[in-house]
Amino acid sequence: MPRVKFQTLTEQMFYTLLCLKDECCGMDILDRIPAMTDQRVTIGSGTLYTLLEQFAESGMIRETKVEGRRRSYILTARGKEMLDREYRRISAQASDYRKIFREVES
Amino acid sequence: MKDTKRRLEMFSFYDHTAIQAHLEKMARQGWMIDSISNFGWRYRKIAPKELHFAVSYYPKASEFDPEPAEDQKTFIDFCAHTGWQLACTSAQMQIFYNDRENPVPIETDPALEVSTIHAAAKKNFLPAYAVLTALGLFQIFLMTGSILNDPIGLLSSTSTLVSASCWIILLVLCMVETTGYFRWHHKAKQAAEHGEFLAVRGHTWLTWLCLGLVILTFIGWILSTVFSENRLTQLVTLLVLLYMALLIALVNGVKRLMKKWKFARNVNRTVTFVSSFLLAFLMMAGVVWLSLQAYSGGFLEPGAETYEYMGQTQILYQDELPLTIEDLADVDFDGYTRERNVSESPLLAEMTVYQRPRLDSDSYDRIPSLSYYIVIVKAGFLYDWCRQTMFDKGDQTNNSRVPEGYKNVYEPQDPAPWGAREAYRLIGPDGSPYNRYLLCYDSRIIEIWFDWEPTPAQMAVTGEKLS
Repeated sequence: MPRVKFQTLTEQMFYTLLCLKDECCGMDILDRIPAMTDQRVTIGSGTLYTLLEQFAESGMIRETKVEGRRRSYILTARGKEMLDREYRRISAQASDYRKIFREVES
Repeated sequence: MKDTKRRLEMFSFYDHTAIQAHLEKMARQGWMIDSISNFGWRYRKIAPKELHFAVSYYPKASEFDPEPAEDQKTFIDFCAHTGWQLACTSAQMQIFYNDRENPVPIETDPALEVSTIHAAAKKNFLPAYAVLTALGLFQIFLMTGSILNDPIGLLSSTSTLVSASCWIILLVLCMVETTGYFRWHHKAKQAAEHGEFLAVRGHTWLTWLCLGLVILTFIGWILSTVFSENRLTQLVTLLVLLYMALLIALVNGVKRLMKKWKFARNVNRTVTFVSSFLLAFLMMAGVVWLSLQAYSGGFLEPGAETYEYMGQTQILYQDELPLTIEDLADVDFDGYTRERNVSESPLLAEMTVYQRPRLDSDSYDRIPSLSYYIVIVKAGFLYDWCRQTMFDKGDQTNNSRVPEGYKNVYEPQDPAPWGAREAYRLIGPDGSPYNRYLLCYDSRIIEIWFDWEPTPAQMAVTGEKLS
């Protein structure tokens, strides 16, 4: 089944939105994602460019500032809601994992 | 030593993995991609080094952009931030290189990458191939019409065969590329759901094969024209070749000049399209006009003269004919026009010959004339088909459009006097014979019209001269 757009988030989408809790520009995100994940997650410049365009089009982020070609964005309420939903989904998965393996261990 | 070089590269638009691997190999050999145009890929000399290349697609770009738009420059800035430097762009395709050891790829999400490639393909590659496919099918349709109306004429014309071959090759290439792309896109979307990017299986070999065939076909065409005895054919071929070369150069020149002068994308696109249609139309009109001028006497065959008859210029041809009236009878008349038209291909040759008195001759009607049509079958497998085609042209037995009782019929005759394998004479609906004969020799089929009833001696001379 093809993934419905933004119904669930990939890791790269999740961390991009997470970075935008505070206003920042695209190039900052390119640096922040590897830094906040201990290099576990990286995002390509082309992928980030496309994601920022799509997030802005769907109202999950909004443009706050344009300095030359440097554009800054911030998360919107809709984007936060999307992040929360993804957080709950991941948490539910973690909880299910714990239930199974704690029962086995005990 | 040259600092730049140009190569013809044959990659599918979306085959970025093959393009990347190729450019990495070129960099190791000391050549960096510099620009891509319709006339090939240009490389500049660099110190040989290990570089990573990435081909990325920017669907909003256009080949008519004077320079990358602001949004595209932002994209390029993002790439530069991760070490990817722009090498060159070509329409929606952008080529980057990176000298870091393990750079983060430009595209790290297969689903987004596939959708970006598809968006770029919809803008350029797919419409262009759709137009070429439609043109190819239209040409095939026209040629099918020609093959039904004048099959021998079509197969005897090298230029028509060249044109047909090129269109068929182009059509095959377009269909293979387009279906290959859609198959890849369908599977790539599924693979992307599992986080994988499906590698492209390009058709580089097929593109080279098609190009090779087209070049060979063109070389064959030019050689056959050079060795052709028909000067008009040589002139028309030269004009057509000049037309094609000039049209390509001028249209590309207009586009490049407008890009250089920084005209907006839409202005450039409109001017380029309008000028290409106008130039194609005007230049083709020029080719047709020059060819007609040549045909109507401006470009006379050696020995030909002109004369005026009833206010019109007539040509008195003096071609060498394989069989003349003088070979058959004593005729004391020197005002004949002797015209021979030959059309030849590797499959067939057809020759139409007329020997007629000039129109201003006294007692025109009483001077004998002769005409014949010879088909030389070079490809043996076409013999029976040519014979039947020529037979059906005169014999109306199976022609449902001619009512019964009005049909001309070819009746078998004794072929011995002609020295032929088969001989037929055309008989009118009332049973009266015409002096029109169909003669079949080993590799020639001849249709001949006499102004008189030929004697056995004249039949023998005809067979001897024309077989």
